[in-house]
Amino acid sequence: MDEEDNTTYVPYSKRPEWSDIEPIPQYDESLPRLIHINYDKEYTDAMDCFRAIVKKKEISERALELTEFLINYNPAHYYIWKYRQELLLKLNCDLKKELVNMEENTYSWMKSYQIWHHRQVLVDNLNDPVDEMETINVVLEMDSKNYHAWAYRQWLMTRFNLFDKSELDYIDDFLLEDIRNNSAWNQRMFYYNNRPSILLDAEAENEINYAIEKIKILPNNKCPWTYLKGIIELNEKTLLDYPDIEELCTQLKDDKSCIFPLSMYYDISLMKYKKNPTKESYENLLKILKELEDRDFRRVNYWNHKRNQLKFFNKQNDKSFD
Amino acid sequence: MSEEETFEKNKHIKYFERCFKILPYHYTSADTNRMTFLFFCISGLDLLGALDQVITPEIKQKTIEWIYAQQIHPDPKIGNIGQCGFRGAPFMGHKFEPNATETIHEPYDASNLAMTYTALISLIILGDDLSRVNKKAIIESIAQLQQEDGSFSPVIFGMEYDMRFLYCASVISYILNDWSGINIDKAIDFIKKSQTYDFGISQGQGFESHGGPTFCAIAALSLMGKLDEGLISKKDTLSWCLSRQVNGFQGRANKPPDTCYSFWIGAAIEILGGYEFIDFETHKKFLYSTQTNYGGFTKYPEYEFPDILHSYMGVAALAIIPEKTPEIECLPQLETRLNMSKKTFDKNFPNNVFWKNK
Repeated sequence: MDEEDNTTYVPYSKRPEWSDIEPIPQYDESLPRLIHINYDKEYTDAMDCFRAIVKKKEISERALELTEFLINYNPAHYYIWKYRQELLLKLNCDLKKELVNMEENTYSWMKSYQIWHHRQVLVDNLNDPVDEMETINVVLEMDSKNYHAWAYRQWLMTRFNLFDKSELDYIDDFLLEDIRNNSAWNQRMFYYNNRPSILLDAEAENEINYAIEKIKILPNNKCPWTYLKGIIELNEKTLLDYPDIEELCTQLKDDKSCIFPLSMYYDISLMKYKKNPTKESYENLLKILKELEDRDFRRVNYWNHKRNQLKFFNKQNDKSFD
Repeated sequence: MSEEETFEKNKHIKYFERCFKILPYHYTSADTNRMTFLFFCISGLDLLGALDQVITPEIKQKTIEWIYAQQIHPDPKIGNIGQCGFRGAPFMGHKFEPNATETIHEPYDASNLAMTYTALISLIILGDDLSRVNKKAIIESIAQLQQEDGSFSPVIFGMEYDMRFLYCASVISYILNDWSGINIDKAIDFIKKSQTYDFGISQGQGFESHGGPTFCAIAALSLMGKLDEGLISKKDTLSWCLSRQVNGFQGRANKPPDTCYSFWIGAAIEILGGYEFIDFETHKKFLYSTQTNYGGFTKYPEYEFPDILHSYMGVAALAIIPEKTPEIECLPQLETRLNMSKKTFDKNFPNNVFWKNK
């Protein structure tokens, strides 16, 4: 902070209401100092008082105010957060009010682990999801891939059993906005994987069609391809059980700007080959690998490695097609 | 971005040297994590071959003393309540006592697994033999930090728990040569449950797969000697990692590449034995483009100012590359699981009191 902004600022240690406190400095006695942070003097002053009240385990309104001041300087200071949580509980503060009070901070520090953990502690104590979904929605509107917000959403859903079907519409809105948003795709899988009821065949069918529709919009997007595999796995089937998927791959595989249809086509062809190895299908596999090498040039060595694995399979099964 | 895109070794040495001494005020949010930043500077200088040149024997010794002054020992009256290990800095007002063997318990005085991990690695890099480390107290504390689901919380008074701290607990157990503080079956169970439908690994069950926890899980499993047991499908996890290469590496599917994932994902790939499958040249080019004129690296090429984490990860990522072109020939191989120079590890590690004569 600039000096001028603080002409009227009175340090905690100079305030009459703090005169009973003997500030405790940070004993950083290695000279020259190492990894020395050039703190603002306001932070140093407030921390000196903080150290003193923690030492005497003070539970008071002024302590609560001090934690808020310090958190604004250092939102990652988990000791201060912890102390604040204890103060809130011991002073019988309105935790719902605290959630509202911390709303702006949540938006400002949405990438801080601590602010989310703070909310989680409060909500857990309240034993009530209150309006937390709303807060999460605001954050995800600003940053649709915010890891903390999605993780907290999942915790809330699990803790309070909030597996309403409307979650699927919510996710779909994200994918309409950005079809490549992997956080949203992951949330969709989370929904089916963690809700109390199991995945029905008809639902799996629906989800597969959902992914296929999204693939048709943008084939060179890894997310729905992975989602397809995930749903099939969850439904305890394999790619071979869904001829629609093979057909989709066949339709899209020759588009040279795409990797994923051809890559899944390779997976399906390899599965078939392992059941019935013929020279013709082997040569087809080699052809696919060659094409994948050309298109996916960052991973040439990887596709070459796949070729070696294929040859190893042949050797093990006494197939000499080369 | 530098005009000539090559590895700016000397600028990086200067950068770490500056950070080692003083950090600007916006690092206030790192007040509880200074140990981690100390590790980045020391290990960064070590990787750049400049540790002895920049840090005199006297300052080295002072650094060792500072690290030991952050150690929390059991309280003679109440014993070990899970708080033993290292603090990130003396921010709670403790006296400077590097030779203490007891710590009078005070409220909120608790170690943090990430700080214990970086303290131990820093001591090893500085050539200390760990003889003042209270192994028994640390191992007993670790046991109290493991959660019912197998993951770890960093501090005893409860915080978020996830894959990061499972990794830290594993490195600590490895260095102290004692795994009795970890319930390994539970830890493996947690890692398995954190593998997602795309075979990447997330911070915990249900979350999105992510480069950071993927490294943490793979390195932890490797240190435990349980890589095959802990991964549902090693080849699919490797394939997920390889798919993260854009030019540099992204941390999640369809995210932009970011310097630190060159380490997190690169190291995971190396441990899985697939480093030969990546495209070295574009990877290096990306990293060179995130260097700054002030030395150090940024997160993204378009950023102007470096930060310590990305600077360290940039150097460490380059050190992983097995076939070194002339401009990075100066970098030693990395001991990726611990994230330090392999050369220093080979030289100093066998001398620590927990491994000597073992």
